[in-house]
Order: sequence, then structure tokens, then C-alpha cells
Amino acid sequence: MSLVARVLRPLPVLLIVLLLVLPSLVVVPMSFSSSQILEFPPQGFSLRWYEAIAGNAVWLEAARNSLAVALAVVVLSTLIGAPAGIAIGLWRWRGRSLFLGFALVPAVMPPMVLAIGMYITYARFDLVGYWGLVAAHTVMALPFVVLTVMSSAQLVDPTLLTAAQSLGAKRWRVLVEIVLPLVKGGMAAGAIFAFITSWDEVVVAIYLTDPTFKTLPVVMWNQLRERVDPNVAVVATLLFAVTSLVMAYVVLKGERKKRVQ
Amino acid sequence: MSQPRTGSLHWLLIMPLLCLLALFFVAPLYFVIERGFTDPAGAGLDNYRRVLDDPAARRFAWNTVRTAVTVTVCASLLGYTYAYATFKASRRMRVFLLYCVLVPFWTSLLVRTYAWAVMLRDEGVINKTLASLGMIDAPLPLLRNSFAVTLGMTQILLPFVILPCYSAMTRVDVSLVQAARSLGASPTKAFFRVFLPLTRPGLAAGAFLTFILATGYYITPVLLGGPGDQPIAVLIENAVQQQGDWGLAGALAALTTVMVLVALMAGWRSLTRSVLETGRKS
Repeated sequence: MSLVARVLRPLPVLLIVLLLVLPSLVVVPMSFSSSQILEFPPQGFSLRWYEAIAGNAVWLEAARNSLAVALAVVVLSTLIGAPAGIAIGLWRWRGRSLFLGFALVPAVMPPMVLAIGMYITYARFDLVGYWGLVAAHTVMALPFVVLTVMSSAQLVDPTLLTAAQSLGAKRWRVLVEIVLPLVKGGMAAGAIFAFITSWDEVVVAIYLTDPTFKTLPVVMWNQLRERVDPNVAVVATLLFAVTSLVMAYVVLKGERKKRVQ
Repeated sequence: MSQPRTGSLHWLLIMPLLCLLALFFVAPLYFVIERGFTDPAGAGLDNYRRVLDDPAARRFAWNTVRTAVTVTVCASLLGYTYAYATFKASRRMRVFLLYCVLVPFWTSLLVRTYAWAVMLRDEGVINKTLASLGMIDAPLPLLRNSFAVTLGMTQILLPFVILPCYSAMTRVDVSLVQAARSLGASPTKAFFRVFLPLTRPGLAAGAFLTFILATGYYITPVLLGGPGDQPIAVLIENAVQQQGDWGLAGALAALTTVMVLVALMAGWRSLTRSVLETGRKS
């Protein structure tokens, strides 16, 4: 291979890597800016915006609300989605793929359609606010839980189930004592996706929150539309730091497991 | 394979999900679509007639479809390339490349979109760099146009192409490609005649998913696009927020839903096949 070709060949992939990570990385230096407005490259270095966030009740309150919603969504979507994922992944039954399609549709519906539909429906039952948003986000997070649990349930060796049953275990016991431990990994992955889905959701949250109860993305959205200071970059950086650490852990652990196998 | 006898246990396991979706997903969809026919009282098909006669609605619909198609093409080309590079890379490189695919998932979509706005504007880093290199005299118009929207949405939707493509590639029987090579096919020919057709279901699944998701986008076009890039979602929001016209919003929501469902059915086979095979070892 000529020298030019050797230099040029990895270039497309390098550019795609940049495209993928650049918007996440650019935010970090912007958060340490000392100027009044959000800009890149930032002017000067300071921690003033970190101090501003730490003392700002609106952001802290919104973060608390987001966390409360996301945790409830994780619990509910795992409780409801995991059994369905097991049923799809473990057995073949009539209507299986139709049911799978139905369970996945909420993930591809335009958020704006969901938002106004949920707004008029939930408002009738006085559900706008915390529980309404939990219900909405659970609907949107379920597809990910179903998918990940289904994938790990498909890997369960059917002879294990037959063996347990032939030894006299009831079907419920087989599910709880054999299948459940085997799909734990899928459930954990689904839970992470469910958390992120709720934590990052804007459009539906705009409609289902009110001035007394706002989540982090809603506050960010309002900020971005009005005045733009590095507050948003600070919040983004903090979130980015936490989630990248979690992800690094998950990816490395997954690779190690593969090597052992 | 899977167990043949399940009795009715699977019904018990899926019942909670069916109930939840019926109450909190199907009912809202039904009520918003119903509004399209009943608001104002006795509207019937009037709202739909208004949508079809309205040149603005046609323009917004065209914006939506045009953006979705452009983004799907860009994301498919870049995503497949990236997945192939990942597939061919050494183990360490592969971990790195797979990690990079996941990075976007963990940064708020709002923030990533805004980061583009900061980089692309007239006094942004790209224009400043080009100007200081003497390559341009006046700043390039990079923001508030279709270019910015396509860039922002491609960035967000790329993982949805890369992951199914990569997963399809790992299931390919590599000896088939080697057989083609040993029978005299050039590397290029072996790729296009053997490898690409074998991985096409993954690509199709990714492309359909991208198209369907792109038709529903709201945040990115609003923050990065110009007046000519605003999608139907913006029209729906205007109908609700500015005019309180729930009938029009209902009709638009119904049309959008139908569009998504049609695309979903068109891609149904490749999507379910890709999904149902993801976890299965070949």
C-alpha cells in the first residue's frame, strides 16, 4: 500500500468518530468558561458556573425531580417489561411477533404526538405532574427493557428448563429460580436504558410538567430558548462525567466476560 | 430450540404490559385522533380538509420527509462504513470504536444539539478556524439551515444504524467470503456480492429505524434549522400552543401516526428479523 493510501484509509472512520463524540466533548471546556455566555473555545478558566449551579435552587430542585421520576420509571418498567421480555424470548407462541411489535411501537412514535395525546388524556384524570410523567416515561422506556430482557432470554439453554421440570419443579419455580438469574444482565441493561430514556426526555415532559414541578431537561430547554449561559454546559458536563464512567465500566466488564467465555 | 408447551403462562407474563399500554399509550393516541374528528363539534373530516388545502401544512410535511430521507441516507452510509471498520478492527480498537458509538447516548440530546449550534454559528470555532487560515473571507452560513439539521440528526441517529449493522456482520459466516476470494473474486467483488447481501437485513433495519425516528424529530430542527426545515411536529405544537386549535392538531397527529405506521409496516420484516435474531447465536 502506498503511503498516501495508508494515511487516508482510516480517515473516514476517524471523521465518524469525531462526529460521534465531538458534541459531547465540546461541552466540557465550555463549562469551565469565565465569561457570561456559552461559547467555544471558552474565554478564560473559572469554576464560577459550578458554584452558581451548586447554589441554584431551580437546578437542584429539577435534578431531584428528574431523579425521582427516572427511578420510579426504572422500577415500573422493569417489573412490567421483564416478564414480557422473558415470555417473548423463552417460548414460541401464537402472536408473539405481533405482540413484540406492539410493545416496541411507543419507542418510535413521534414524541409530539405522544405529548399532546397524553396531555389531554392524563389531564382528564388529573394525572399531570409526577405520576403522569412517570406513566408516560414508563411507556417510552418499556420497549428497551423488553428488547434487552428478550435478548438474554433467547440465550437461555432450553435443556436447563426441561431438566428442571423433569425433576419436578413447577413452571413458576423454573421461571423464578432458573430463568430470572440468567436474564439478570439483560434486566440491568434494560434498566440503564430506561433510566436514560426518562432522564433525557424533553418533549413529553414539557407538556406533562407544570411550573411547580419541572424536570432537568425542561429547565434546560427553557434556558436554551431564553438566555444562554454556561450553566447548561456545567449540568451537561456533570451528567456526561457520571454516565461515561458507568458506560466505561459496563463495556469493560462485558469485554472481560466475553474473554472468559 | 424454544420450549413447545407453555400453556397460558405467557399470557400472565405479558398481561401487565398490555394493560399499561392500553391505558397510557393507546388511550392517549385514540383521544388525540378523536379530537381531529370532533373538535369543533361536528367537524367530521373538516380538519383533514383544512390540512390538505393548507400550503403551509404541505410545506411542513415536505420538510419532514425530505429531512428524514437525507438523514437516513447519510446515517446509512456512515453507519455501515463505521460498523465494517469496527468488525475488521483489532480487539482493542473494536472496544474503543464500540465505546464511541455509545458516547452520544450518554449526553443529553438537548446539550449535543446546542453544542452544534455553538460550533456552527458565524463566530463559532469552525468559521473562526477557517477565517484564520485565510480560507474564507466571510463566515460560511452553517447554522439555521438544512445542513445543520442533517448534521445534528445524523449524529444522534448514527448508533441506530451502526448497532444493527455490526450485529449482522458478527453473524456472517466469514468462510463464505473466503470461498468467494479463493474462487477468484477480487476483495471488492467479494464484499459487494457476498458480504453486503448477507448483512443487508441489519442495514435495512437500521435505515428503517432511522427514517421512522427522524420523522418524529422536534428538538433538533427547532434549535438548528431555519424556517425551511421545520417539521410537522412544529406545526402540531403551533396549533396547540398559539391557536388552541386541538382539532387541527388531532388531524395532524393522526396523519403523522399513519405515516409512522406505514413506514413501520414496510420495514416490519427486516426490523423484527433483526430484533429477534440479535441475541441468538448463529
